This record gives sequence, structure tokens and C-alpha cells, in this order.
Amino acid sequence: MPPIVIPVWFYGFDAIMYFISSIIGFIISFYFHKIYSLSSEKRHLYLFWGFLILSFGLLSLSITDIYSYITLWRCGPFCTLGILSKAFDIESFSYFLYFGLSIIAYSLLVLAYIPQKFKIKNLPTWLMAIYFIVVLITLPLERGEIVWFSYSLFFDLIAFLMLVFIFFINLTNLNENKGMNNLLVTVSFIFLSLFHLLRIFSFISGWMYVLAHLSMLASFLILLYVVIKVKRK
Amino acid sequence: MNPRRTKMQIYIDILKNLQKSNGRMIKTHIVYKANLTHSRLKEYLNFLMLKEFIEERNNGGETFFVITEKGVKFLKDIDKLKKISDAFGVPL
Repeated sequence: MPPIVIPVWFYGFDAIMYFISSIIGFIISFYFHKIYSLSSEKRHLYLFWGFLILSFGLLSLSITDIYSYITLWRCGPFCTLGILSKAFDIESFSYFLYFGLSIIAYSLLVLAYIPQKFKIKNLPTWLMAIYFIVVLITLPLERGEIVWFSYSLFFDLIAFLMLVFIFFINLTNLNENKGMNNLLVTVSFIFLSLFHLLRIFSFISGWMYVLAHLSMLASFLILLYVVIKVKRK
Repeated sequence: MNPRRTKMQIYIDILKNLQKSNGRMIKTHIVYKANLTHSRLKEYLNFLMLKEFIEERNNGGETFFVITEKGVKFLKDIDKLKKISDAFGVPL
């Protein structure tokens, strides 16, 4: 497993980006909760839980990232391996939590977007359940003894494929409705897919890591813009 | 064939029709506009009155229903939520 490359100047920015994204995610989930309370439709419930769980994952990551950066900054050149490994253990657990929560969240989003006319009703649910179990089993195996545990090809590849599926469904909706908001949501899912795709290559260069995080932030900011645009009218 | 309307869509239809007709309508006109039977309409009107979105009034022996300010606000709010939901391609 290759170690992830994070530019030193970017330390802390990623945590702030996770935090902003999680707050926007909470806002989106709040609106889908309101929508679900009116519609009682399962698809809205899936979107509510999907964004809520994703936001909790991002929030946990932002908190532990800040903690580890502060630990690193405080001890400076006098860092002992004990202090660092404790901080990285916490961060590593947080990444593990984020990977799991994200897979659940994306699975729920995929369920919300699976066409309603799908004949074998329980098949997607079963597939997602099996998928999640596989992820849970394989993720700990994938983590080695390298300091940075934040890299997981398996997780990012799976997340990317799920988001590409959601993007294509949104593209179909965009083709049917041709609305500006549909376009913005579609673009938002492109950026979120890009986030995971660029993370896959973040062992090559620090810029990949930076661009990945900028994509994630752009994705959530676009969603926030859609909500503000609708609310202001 | 049009897909079956959800309860929420029927509530919205009733309120929108009331709003279009200067905020007031007699029961028979609501039945016609909302495409419902008298017995089913009663159930929906009771719910809307319970939520204080509409009011039943009497004028010279004629009973009619009016949309309240709360009902108008509800329609505005639901329109915004519908736009968010539509943007994600999962319509309300």
C-alpha cells in the first residue's frame, strides 16, 4: 500500500474542507428530512440518511485531522514516536469510520436513485448489504503498518463507481428536465466522483490530494448554492 | 395514464385550487377541480382544517372553504422543497 502524499502547506486545510462539507451535508439532510415528512417516500428517506451519515463521517474526519495536526504542530522537532503514533491511531480509526460511513451513505444514495420500476425488489438491497460486509471485512486487512492509513484504493474505487452510477442517473434526469438546478446537482456529483478518483492517485503527487479536496469542497458548495438559490426565490 | 397521486399531491392540489379561486370554493367545485369523490374529499378537508391550512365558513346558508395564511405559507414552503427535491431528480 503506497503512502499518501500531503503537502505540508496543506495541513489543516483538508480538515477545514471536511468540516465545511459536513455542515453543508447536514443542511441537505435537514431539507430531505423535511421533504420526507411531507412525502413519506422511501427515496427521500434514503437521501436524508445518506447525507446525514456522510456528514457524520466527514465531521469525524475533520475533528481527528485537526487533533493530529495540532499534536504534530505542538511537539514540533521534539516529537516522540509514542505521541505521534497515538495521534495517528486516532486518525486511522477515524478514517476507518469515514470509509465505512461513506460506503453506507453512498449505498443509501444509490438506493434512492435506483429506478422504481426495478423488478426484483430486494436485489439492490441485498447487493448493497453484501457489498458493505465485504468492505467492512477487507478494509482492516488493507491497512498496513505504514503511518498514513488514509489511503485506500479499494474504498475510493468503490465510492467512485457508486458516484458515477448516481451521476448517470442525474444525467438522465437532466436530459429529461433540462433545469439549471438539475445541472448543478449533476455537476456536484461529478466533483464528488472526482474527489475519490483523484484520491486514488494521491500517492503520485501532493497536488492530487489538494485537487481531490478542492473537488470535494466544490461539490458541496454547489449543493449549498442550489439550496440557497431555491430558498431565496 | 397518469401515475397515482400521493396524499401530499392531493393536499397540494386542493390548496392550489383554493388559492386560484380567490382563496374560496364550495365543496362541489373542490370535488370537481381536485378530481375526488365527495367521501374522499371529506377526509382530505378534515385533515387540512386540522392543520389550519383551510377554514370552513358559512354565508347565507352556503358553506365554502377558504385558504388560510398558514395554508398559503405552506404552499410556498412546499414549492421550495419540491424544487430541491426535483433538483436531485427525486420529485416530491
